[in-house]
Parts: sequence; C-alpha cells; structure tokens
Amino acid sequence: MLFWYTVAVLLSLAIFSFLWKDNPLYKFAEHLFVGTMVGYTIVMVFSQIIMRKIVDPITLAVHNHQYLNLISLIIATLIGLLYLSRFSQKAQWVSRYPISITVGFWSGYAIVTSFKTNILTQVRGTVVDDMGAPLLNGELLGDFIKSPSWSSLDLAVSGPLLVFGVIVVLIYFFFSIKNENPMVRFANKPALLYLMLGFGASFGYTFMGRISLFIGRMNFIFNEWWPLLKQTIGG
Amino acid sequence: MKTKKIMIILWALLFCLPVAAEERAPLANFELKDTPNNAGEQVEFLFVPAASPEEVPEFLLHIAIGDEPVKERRLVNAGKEIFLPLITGEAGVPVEVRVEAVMDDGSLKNLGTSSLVSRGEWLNMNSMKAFILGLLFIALIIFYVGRAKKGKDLFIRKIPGLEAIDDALGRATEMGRPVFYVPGTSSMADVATLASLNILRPVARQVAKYETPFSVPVKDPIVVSVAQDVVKEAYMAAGRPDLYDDGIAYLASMGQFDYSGAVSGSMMREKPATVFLLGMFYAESLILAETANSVGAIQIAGTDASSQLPFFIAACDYTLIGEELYAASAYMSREPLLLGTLKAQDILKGLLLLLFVTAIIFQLFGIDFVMDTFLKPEW
Repeated sequence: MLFWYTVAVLLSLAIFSFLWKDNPLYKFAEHLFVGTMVGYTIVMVFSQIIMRKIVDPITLAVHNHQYLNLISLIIATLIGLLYLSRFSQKAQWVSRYPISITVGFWSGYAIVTSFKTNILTQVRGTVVDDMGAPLLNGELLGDFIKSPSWSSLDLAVSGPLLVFGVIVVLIYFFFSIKNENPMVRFANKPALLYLMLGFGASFGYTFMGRISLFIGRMNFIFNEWWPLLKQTIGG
Repeated sequence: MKTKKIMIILWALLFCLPVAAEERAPLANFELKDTPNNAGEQVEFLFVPAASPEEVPEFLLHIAIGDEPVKERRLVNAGKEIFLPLITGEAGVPVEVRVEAVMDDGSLKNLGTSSLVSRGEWLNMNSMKAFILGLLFIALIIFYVGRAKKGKDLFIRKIPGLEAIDDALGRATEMGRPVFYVPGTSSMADVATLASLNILRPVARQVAKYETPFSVPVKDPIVVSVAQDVVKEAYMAAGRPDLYDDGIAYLASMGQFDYSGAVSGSMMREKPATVFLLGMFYAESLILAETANSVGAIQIAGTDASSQLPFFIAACDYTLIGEELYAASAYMSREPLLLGTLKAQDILKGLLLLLFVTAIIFQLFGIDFVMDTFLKPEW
C-alpha cells in the first residue's frame, strides 16, 4: 500500500511543481495522466457503450425475436459507424451525417427544455418566491417602517432588489438597441454593478471550494501518507 | 292486522339500517389512475384512509406491476391522503394493487383491488405553452432572417471584446507566435460550443490571411470533426488551403483535468501570443486562463457558464459575458441567419420582459391572472 500512496504523493508534487515553472517532472506527470485517461476512456467506451448499448441489446433483441427493436438498433449503429469515414479522404463527407443528426437532435431537444427551465421557471421565480408570495411586497416594507431591524430590512429590500436587478441586466443584454438609447444608458451601470457583485460572490465561493480541494490533498500527504511511511520505516 | 305487520317490518328495517350502513362504510378509498402527459412509464395510486388510526393502524398494499413479483408495502394510517407513484417503465404494462386493512387486533381485512394498464399519450400537454413559445421564436427567426437576406440593416451594438480580436491576431503575427483557440470542454449538445464554433470561422479566416500558426485543442471527438471542417472552410475562404492541416484542430484528451493539463503543457511549450477561451467551461477555466496569462498571451474569453465567468473576468483581458458569446458570432460573421436569430432573440427577450413586468404589476394588485395563465409551476 505504501508504494501506491508514495506514487500518488510524488505525482501530486510533480503536478504542483508547475507553480514554479514548466519542468520535466510536470511533463512526465502530465503525459502519464493524459495517457492513462485515454486508455481508461477507451476501456470505458468499449464496456459501457459498445457492449452495453450496442452488442448486448442487439443480442437480446435477436434472442427475444424483437425485430423492430433490432432494426432500430442496427440503423442507429450504422449511422454511428458512418463517423469512421473520416479516415478516408474521399468518403470524409459522409461523417457529416451523424454529426448533423447529433447536432439537430440536441438543438431541437434543448428548445422546449430551455424554455421551461431557463426562461419560464426563472421568470416565475422573479415574480413570486418559492411559497408563492410576491417579491414586490408592500406589507414587508410597512413592517420595516413600523419596526426597523436588519432582518425586516432584509425581507423588505431583497425582493425589490432582485426584481430591479433582473430588469436592468436583461436590458444590458439587448444587442439591437444602440448604446446611446436612454433606457440602455440608464441600465448599463447598475447592470454591470449587479453582474460584478454576483461574479465576485461566485468567485469567492468557488475559490473556497478549490482551497478545500488543496487542503484535501495536503491532508492526504501529511495525515495519511506520512504516518504510513513513518510506521513502515519505524517498523 | 296487516298494517300492524307492515309497521313492525318497517321499524325493524329502520333499526337494522345503521348497522348495515356501518358495515358497508369503507375503511379506505383508493384508486389506481394513469398519470397524464407521460409515455406510460408511470401510474398513480391515490389512497384516502376513511377509518381512524385507532381502528386501523396501518394498511397493507400488494403491488403487482407486469411480470415483476408482487411487492408488499405498508402504509401507516396518519389520516392523510397518500399519493404513490408506481413506475411501470413503459405503456401497456398491467398494474394491480390489492389493499388490506391491518386491524387494531392484528387481523387483516381485504378492502378490494384496483387495476389498470399503463397508457401513454402522444402529447405532453404540460409542455404545450413552452412549445407555443418555441413556435413563436422560430417564426420570429424566420421573419428576421428573411429581412436580413433582403439586405435590410439589422443593427447590433458594439461588443468590446470583439473589437480586440483583430489587434490580438495582429499581435500574434508580429511576434511570430501561435494563436490558440479552445472551443470549451463540452460537447456539440451545448449551445455555447455551437456559438464558439461560429466564432472560430472568422478567427480562422483571419489567422489564415495573416499566415499565423494556429492550434485548436479539443476535448470532444465530435467537436474535433466539426472544428476541422470549420477551420478547413475558413482557410479555403481566405484563399490559403495550402496552409491547412488536419492537425490544427486535434483531440487533446477526453477527460476534464487531463485535457486542461495537456492544453496547459502545450501553452507552456508553444508560448502562444493570443489565446481564445470561448465556449462552455467548468472547473478547468482558471487553470487554462492562468496558464495563458503566465506565458504572456492576450486572452479573449467567453462563456455562458455563470460559475466560470468570474475566473475569466479576473484572469483574462477581455470577457464575453453569457449571451455576448452568442451575439459575437453574429456580430463577426454578419451572416443573415445569425443576425436574424439575434434580432429574434432580442424581440423574444422584450416580450418576456413585458410579461415579467405585467406579472409583477398584476401581483402588486393581488391579481393572479398572468401567473396562472402563463407562469404556472408545472412548466
């Protein structure tokens, strides 16, 4: 076990050495990583796609006499095989068919899904909250004026701020209106402020996630590998 | 005498009636229903207990779906209606649920059976409004593409990052160093990848014109093929097919971090003067942007991944934010199809903004009409 742990530590250090500069150790780790992943991907494609999605279903369809299913599987496989025509200079154009089918299918599939999840649900979420209460709520503002506190201020202001932010950012992303348009001129600065505030928060959040990954690696080196090494050497 | 007999019988019936009614009162009401708007992959079992938890602490369901062995499931009687989805997988599967009441003394009482055959619908009516919106969008695209083809001027405002592309390519040419173009790390299923490949075309054309070394490392095999075709066409359009090589767009690796490791390594060795990071990116965005920065490259980045945009903004010279990436391809190519699409997008955005503002105003007055008609949650 110590051997493989040591390999993992050495490779981690080799990758970290890139922080100093590009060097042979990093190059070795990089090429090893890429080569291993390519090999792993080939095995995964063979076992998870070629066997599970093509060979096994075709065998099963033949065995169960499900000929309609068999025909659809064979047609799909043949369309996929057209992709291999890229290896021939003359027949290269044939490979555009599977590509166009893939692109066409995903583009069509994405239309309704995008409208549902990225547009309509988002619009609804900007008008009312999860409980169905309107985000522009005058009562909450009244509550704050009656008994001012941080929590009542937060409740009263967060909804209107969200609504205003969505409107100005949406205007910012109109491309067919001139920058001199008064509506665009009004919305530009607050929109950028909203965007940068959001990105800043997201940056901090993700950065902390990366730090935790680094801590995890250091934890592996100092709390797992090092005690194991000491124990093995010390007997 | 006869009247007396009839009276006695009537009185007897009157006394017996509550007893008979009590015996007939169901301990629970249940029904197996076909789930609407699906392909038959699920049915619903609706169970409403009528007996009190003291009388019937729980119910026992015997669920038979197709050829699968019968499954038992116990429902604790909390006096509340229970909705149980049952997965059939496909249409035409017989489903049967037999219900028994577990009485307070532990004895079982059969309450009956409900059965049906799962049925699929051709249309999912829940998606109908989104479908209509899609049709409206397509109609707008067709209209504006037609206008663009007729030569009508469709205005697009300046996008700052794009103005810098020519300078960045010129810089690479002057320095004699290559240009790197990373079209994201997603597949062709991603709209950002499609947008990136649209931008690749004018960039590759310019690169071919300047005779600058060009490299397009890709993560997805299908994207490699499309990128090769795009670059080839661009080189031909620039009148330099002799400079084209299939190795310009190549598969660097298929995993996320091995790909970023491979591209970072290439950047360190080839020292590009200009790096484009346009498309869909995940956690590798900062690795690529920082490496490009460390070799002194001008970076023009763009993505619609909101979680990765902060890293590009922090590390790159120019960043196309979200939809600017889609607009960029239209802005650069000036192709009627893309210009018309962009214009249609703006119109749809305007309509949605109008819907949004109207919904807010209606909500302020406590009117749910817009919300109920257009923005119901089952969307």
